[in-house]
Amino acid sequence: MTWADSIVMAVRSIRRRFGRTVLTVAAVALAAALLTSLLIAVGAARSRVFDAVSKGGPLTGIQVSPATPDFGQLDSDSAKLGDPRPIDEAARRRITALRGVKSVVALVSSSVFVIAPPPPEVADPGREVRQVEPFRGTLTGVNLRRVGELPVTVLAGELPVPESLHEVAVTDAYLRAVGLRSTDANAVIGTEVEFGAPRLFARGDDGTVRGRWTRSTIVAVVAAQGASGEFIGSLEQVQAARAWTAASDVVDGREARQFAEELAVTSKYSGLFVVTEGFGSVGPVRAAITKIGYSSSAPESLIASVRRYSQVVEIVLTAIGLIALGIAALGIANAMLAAVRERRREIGVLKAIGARDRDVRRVFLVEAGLLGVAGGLVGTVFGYGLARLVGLAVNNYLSGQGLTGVRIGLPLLIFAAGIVGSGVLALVAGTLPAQRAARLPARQAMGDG
Amino acid sequence: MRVRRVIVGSVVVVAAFVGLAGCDGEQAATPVREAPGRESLYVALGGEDVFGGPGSLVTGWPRVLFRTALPITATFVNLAGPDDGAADVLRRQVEVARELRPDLVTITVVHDAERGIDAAAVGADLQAVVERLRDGTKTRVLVGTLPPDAAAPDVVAALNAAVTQAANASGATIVDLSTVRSTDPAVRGSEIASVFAAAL
Repeated sequence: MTWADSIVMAVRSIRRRFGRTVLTVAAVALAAALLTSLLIAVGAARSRVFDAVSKGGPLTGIQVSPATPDFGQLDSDSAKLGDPRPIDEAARRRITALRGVKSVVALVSSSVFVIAPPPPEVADPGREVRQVEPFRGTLTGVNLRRVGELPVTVLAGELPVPESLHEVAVTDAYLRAVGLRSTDANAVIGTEVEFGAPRLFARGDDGTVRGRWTRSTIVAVVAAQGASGEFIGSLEQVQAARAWTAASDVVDGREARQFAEELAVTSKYSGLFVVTEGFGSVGPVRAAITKIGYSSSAPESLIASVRRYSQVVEIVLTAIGLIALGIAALGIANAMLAAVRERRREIGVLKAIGARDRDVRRVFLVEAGLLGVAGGLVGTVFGYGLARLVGLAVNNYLSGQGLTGVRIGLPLLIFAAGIVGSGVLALVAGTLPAQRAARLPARQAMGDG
Repeated sequence: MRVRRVIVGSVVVVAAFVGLAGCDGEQAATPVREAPGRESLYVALGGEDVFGGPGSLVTGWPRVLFRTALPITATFVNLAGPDDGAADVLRRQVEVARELRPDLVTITVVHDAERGIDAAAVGADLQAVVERLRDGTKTRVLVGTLPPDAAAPDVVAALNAAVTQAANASGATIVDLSTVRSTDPAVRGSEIASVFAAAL
């Protein structure tokens, strides 16, 4: 008997007992759906928690501040700031050259005057809308091509295009400054703000401040760690503002001198974001940065704890899914045993015309395998759909809270494991019935039939 | 036949389920993206009306012009001084403006009318300012006349004649502000800006 014969016989048997087949496949499908949706949900929740902990940045990131480290820096995830210490090019090179450092993204910031448009109409008509007085804010510049390496999470819109001089992303601090809530993020997308970089001009004994004003469109609202202030733009945008401010005249007047000191750009970089080669490198790299003389922060203790907890949750939920699959396997075994009992005469005929034990075993194993694979396929797709529906509900809730949503995807590994795993489990469950069918003596099978 | 119907039905149900799940309920906000354009610099020179008083940072006419009539790629620098007339513009502002290499400069000298400066002197200083700005550059210079309420009618008329002559002699574009009537600072800013915008 060939494999093709075995498959044809298995399919014929499935068609003949259609009702039982549907129920068996449904049991496997439900179990596979449960396992798939649980694994997808765990994966999405874990990445959401890690995103929240790392503020959307890499888990292996370290934020370096322009200050010396204070006592106990290495025992704390947060920065323990000592005296201000400028981060210059030499410092950036030293940190980049440290063992375990994968990349370093520089942050540059500039103090600017801001003219914001009146808050756009928001959903709540009863809310008091006030004109926004010009205010002083901070524009942080980054290489927008490398923004993916930074702890920046887009809440609404899209990030500014690289090297853009007239597009910015705003943070929650901006929304607060213009009297909006984080749930109103979409309302500011497409509005225009004016930035005035200050410069001190000598005028008699004193000085006068003149702004270099530019207009920028708000294209995104982001949650950002490390980039202190209200705005995130391109490096070029901030460097132009800093160059204008840095060209200030030297003045004698006390008030003007005080203002000049405030404006003075003391640090080339307002911060560095260091991405290490792995989670294990975070501690040693932070120690080395502290030794160089800079304060730093990284959520390493927090991430380690979250990792431990998420692994426990993953094990528990996987166990629940596996128990369901085990029950489904018992269902397959039961259905196959019933099939063996019903088909004793058929088995006897097969053996009488020369089929060997292994041929009979193969027919039953193929049937079990087909049931398992079909159930696994339907269940995995169903489980993915279920996870997407749950994800939609969760995202609706999160966006209502002004938080970024979860991303529900079907990893290839889960898809393949769902189908192959169900098939293998069905084969295991079908082994005993197949074995029993194979060992059935031909005479007994015919006689009993 | 029955098997085929059940299989087809199951596939349709699963496909509909997955399709439904794939639909996102929330529409993402579509940001307005940066349009490519040449960077340009606009510099405003003049006295108090250009410098602006307290609270006029947002509504002063040069800013309204910058905000409403110039492309987003424009940069704006206001070099005006609160008490500056044509002579002060020549002495304090014009060299700074030249260093910035502006593409567009606007000048008004309303303060001279209040101070009773000789019209011929104002005209001479203004001509020198424009010539200095245009010397070896492609800077476009717009010179505004005095609005009717800037001073007594005869003073305004004399100064406007001098301003117009200076602008014509130096290759600047004259902007006639004789139609400006509003006294409300916010409305006046928009009114003057729209006259300048029409001359661009």
